[in-house]
Amino acid sequence: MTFSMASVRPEQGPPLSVPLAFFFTAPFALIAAGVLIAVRGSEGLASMWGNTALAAAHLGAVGLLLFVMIGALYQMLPTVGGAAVPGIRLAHGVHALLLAGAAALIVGQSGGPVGAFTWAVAALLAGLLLFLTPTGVALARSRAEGPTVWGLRVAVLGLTAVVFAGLRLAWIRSGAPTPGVLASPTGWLTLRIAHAHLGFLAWIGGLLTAVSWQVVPMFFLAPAPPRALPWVTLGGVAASLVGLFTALFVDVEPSTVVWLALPGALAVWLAHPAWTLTALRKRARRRKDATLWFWWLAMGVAPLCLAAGAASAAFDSPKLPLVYGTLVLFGWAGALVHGMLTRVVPFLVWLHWCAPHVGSRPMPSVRELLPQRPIAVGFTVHASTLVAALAAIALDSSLAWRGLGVGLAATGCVLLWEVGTVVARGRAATR
Amino acid sequence: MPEDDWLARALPVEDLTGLEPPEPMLRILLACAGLTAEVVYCARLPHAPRPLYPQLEARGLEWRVGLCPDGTALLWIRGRAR
Ligand code: HEM
Repeated sequence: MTFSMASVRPEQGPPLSVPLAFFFTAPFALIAAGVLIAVRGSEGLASMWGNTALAAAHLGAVGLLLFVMIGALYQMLPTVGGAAVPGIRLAHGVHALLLAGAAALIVGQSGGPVGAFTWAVAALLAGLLLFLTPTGVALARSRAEGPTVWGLRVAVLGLTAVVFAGLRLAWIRSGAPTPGVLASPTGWLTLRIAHAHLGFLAWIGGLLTAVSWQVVPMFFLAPAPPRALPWVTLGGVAASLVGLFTALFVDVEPSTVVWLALPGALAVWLAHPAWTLTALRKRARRRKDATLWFWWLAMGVAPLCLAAGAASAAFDSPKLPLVYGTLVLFGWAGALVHGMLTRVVPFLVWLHWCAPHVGSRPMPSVRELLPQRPIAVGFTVHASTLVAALAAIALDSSLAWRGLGVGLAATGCVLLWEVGTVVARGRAATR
Repeated sequence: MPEDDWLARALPVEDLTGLEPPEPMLRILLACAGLTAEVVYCARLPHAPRPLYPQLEARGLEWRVGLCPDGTALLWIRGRAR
């Protein structure tokens, strides 16, 4: 038997409080989005230009997704990249700054004082620099090879790009002078579309695909992706990242931006779900697992994102971009993140709190930390809320929108119950 | 490596490749309870068990990891000589 000896240096993973702080922000963002929509009814929701729609989109994109994904990056970098993030205690400062910045952004976007955008820009810029500098150092230093670590690099570059574009939009909304190229409606639209797709494809798509090449085989005992697939996916995402980032600086038509997003969209919403669904079908462990339902939902919704994106670009209907944003943020990425939390949080709590006592006293298993029932309830509420969102967009009645608000708040409450249960049971077992 | 000649002593290899995380880690930590410098435990895992290393260190154990061409990893553990 041949093998090579591996380094056995204990990795410097973050303290449990770091990922948990980021993960626990997610349910509150969902609750806030739900309350906002329930209170406003149909006001500001007729198109993606409406202030309630923009605020709700960022409660999802930033409050739910960005926080969970940053918490996951802090956790994954030492294990996947083999590189400790320097100054990990600063992560709590990052969390506080991002929280303040996201809150100010939502206040500004939902029609609050314009000055809120200035605070949002300052706090988000500070928080993201404090995050990107040490993680950039860790990723540059990492000697790990393979597509996952490259996927993390592309995703972090995608984060830098989406935030750069977002801060530029927010800075102008704060009342700063508008540079010439953005003064025309098409210039502004180009920037908006490039910003949204840098977020959808390079940041969210880049990270979710890279993470799944690692976790689908690991958590579901499924086959690893064929050798070429991750590189092809990564190539598509990287091509869109470069194209969309370039579009931020040159005078291009909004229709051109859509083409620049195409390679990433095909990779993330077609190639990736095709592999994931095949791998999950071949998984070795076939016991009941409610986490899987989130994967099936997200992977089923992914091609619909592609179709809705194409339809939004092809037809001039205010409803299509709403459908597109809902499918991407809540049906695809939101479902995947919700499902991953139901796996990752019990695992981390078990690892940090229970594993040290194994062998000396009885400890709960991960399935005892988070039983199947809360996960199944979480899935049912999440999936029903997705249907409610599509119905509200179609009907555009105040009642339907308020119903969606209740659904989003309920999804947040169930998510809080899921992650809260794990922490409470983990604490009780080790007390 | 002459100081690693204890690796050759581990006879039965427990196959943990078909288990969902953190089941392999649980099995390993339970097996660690009985280890001495003379008793070596060996397991095959789906990949290098990085999250386990801090636990092994906290228990004062000595361990080595071998990476196999098929992507699996071999883990040897023993108690430290006093
Ligand atoms: C973290 C910093 C971010 C800031 C400061 C920010 C800011 C903004 C602003 C100001 C707008 C609206 C422009 C306008 O008023 O016309 C906008 C639009 C949008 N943003 Fe962000 N954003 C950020 C992150 C993200 C992320 C991570 C995503 C994830 C995908 C995202 C998705 C979107 C979407 C979908 C739109 C609407 C685009 C459209 O319908 O044309 N944003 N953003």
